[in-house]
Amino acid sequence: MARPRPTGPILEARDLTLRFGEVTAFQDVAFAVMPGELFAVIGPNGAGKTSLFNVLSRVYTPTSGQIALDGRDLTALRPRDLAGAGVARTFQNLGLFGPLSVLDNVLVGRHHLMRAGALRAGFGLRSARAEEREHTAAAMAALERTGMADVAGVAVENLAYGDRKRVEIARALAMHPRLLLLDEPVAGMSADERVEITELVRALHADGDLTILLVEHDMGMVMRVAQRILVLDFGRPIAVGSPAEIQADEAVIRAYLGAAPEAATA
Amino acid sequence: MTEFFQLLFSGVALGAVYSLIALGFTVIYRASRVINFSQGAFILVSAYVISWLATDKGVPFFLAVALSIVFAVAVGVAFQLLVLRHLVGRSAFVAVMVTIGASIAMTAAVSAIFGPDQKLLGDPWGSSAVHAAGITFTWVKLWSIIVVAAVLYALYLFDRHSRYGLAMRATASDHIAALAAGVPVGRVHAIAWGMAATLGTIAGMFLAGFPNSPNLGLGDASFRAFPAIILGGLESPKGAVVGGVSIGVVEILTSGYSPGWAGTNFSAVAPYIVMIAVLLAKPYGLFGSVPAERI
Repeated sequence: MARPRPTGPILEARDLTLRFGEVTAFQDVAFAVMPGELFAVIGPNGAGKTSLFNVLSRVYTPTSGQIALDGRDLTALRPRDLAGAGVARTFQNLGLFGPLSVLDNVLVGRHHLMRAGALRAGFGLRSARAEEREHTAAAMAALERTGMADVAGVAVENLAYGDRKRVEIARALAMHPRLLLLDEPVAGMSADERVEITELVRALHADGDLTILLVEHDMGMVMRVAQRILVLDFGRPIAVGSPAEIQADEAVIRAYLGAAPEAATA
Repeated sequence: MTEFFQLLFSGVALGAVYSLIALGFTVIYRASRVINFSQGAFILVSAYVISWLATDKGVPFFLAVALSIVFAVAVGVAFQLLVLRHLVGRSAFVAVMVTIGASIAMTAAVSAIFGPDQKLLGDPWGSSAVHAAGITFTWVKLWSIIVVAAVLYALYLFDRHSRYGLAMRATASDHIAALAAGVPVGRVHAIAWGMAATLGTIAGMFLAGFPNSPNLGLGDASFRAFPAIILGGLESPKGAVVGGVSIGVVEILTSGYSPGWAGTNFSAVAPYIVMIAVLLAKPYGLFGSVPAERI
């Protein structure tokens, strides 16, 4: 699906600061994510990554500074408007509906795209039936992309953790976002699952015109997939650049990698 | 045996109405984790509005019921949008207290406007009945069973086959994730309140039918239906129906067969005894989900 690609950044933060009373979560954060880019935010524990993610996903409102989505003020949107504005997210600890089937979980992501009151042809309306087919097909296509189509009828609570993450990513894809926000997608995973999800994120980005912003603790994953990286340390941005530049950056090595950069990139 | 089947029929009819009341609790609890103690007040208000329209204003009965549903839905949705919406993020206890307050206010308003006397419902059934095999089937009870079955089926279709049914199930499971996936959670809550108000109106219509009538004690039925939702599991629509019918049958059978030494109102206590017995074996109700814990 070819979209005219705007020339400006899809997401731009300027002088972004978040405080909770006297505690500063992060301050003076500035970055721009270009369309089609895979941009990562990394940092040691407590660096402000999760707080920044929560500002981008409209859970928190920044104390000061601007954040623009396609040049428009992101903070003017309510959380539920994000889907319509083309922003989808995943959760660090999964945001799925356990008792619902895999397919239903993904169909929920289509809610904002549905027109008719009836999703399925419960009342025998032809247009409702056509719409149901359209949304089910889109949901199944998203599940194909993450490799979960063959378990579409299974309740999510019966899946392994890594597979649940695949369902969550499929739901985000089914929302047809332009910007995908991933909150520590490999947190809490086994080594095998980390490799698989890293490969999935890389493949999804390679597929097309999806812009991805990734907040992640796992350096190995970020170095493998990201095009540009923002490093936070104690709430302050200390470097922005390509993986190679970040790996060579003195301040980053001091703050994050410590004395063993080769171990962290393994 | 005839007496048993007569009681069983009455029990199923009463239980069907309890199912509607229990579903009213369940619908709101699933969407917003609030136990709505004003469900009984909706039953009361609706019965009086139907009575006022049908007997005082000469509105045809079924139109009166329809108008009463519209009124109850408006009140329920307004209550959610104007009051409860602003309590999001507070403890569920705050919202529960607010629903109790609303219940007291609505009951007082009915008493002030319509007075303490019993009213006529204005329904077309009255005490008319059909007789078969020695059993009296009053029309109001027959229709309550038929209408409840139809309402349950409509709710099932909504739950499984509609956009907002899916959104409601998602919201019930995790409202933050639902919001992030683009579900307008506030609208889902408003729809839940509209549905509960509709269920309350239909329940009020049948509860106020023969041999009863619109009276100020009508809302107490919600407390008699309460064991039903606990029995079935607060979150389970299936549990609300099974619990509702069971409690109705237990109540009527006990009232028919209870021994003299147990007292005249033992039938009001029996549902709670059944509830406690079930909770001892299944603490989350027959169909309730056991909360998952990290270990």
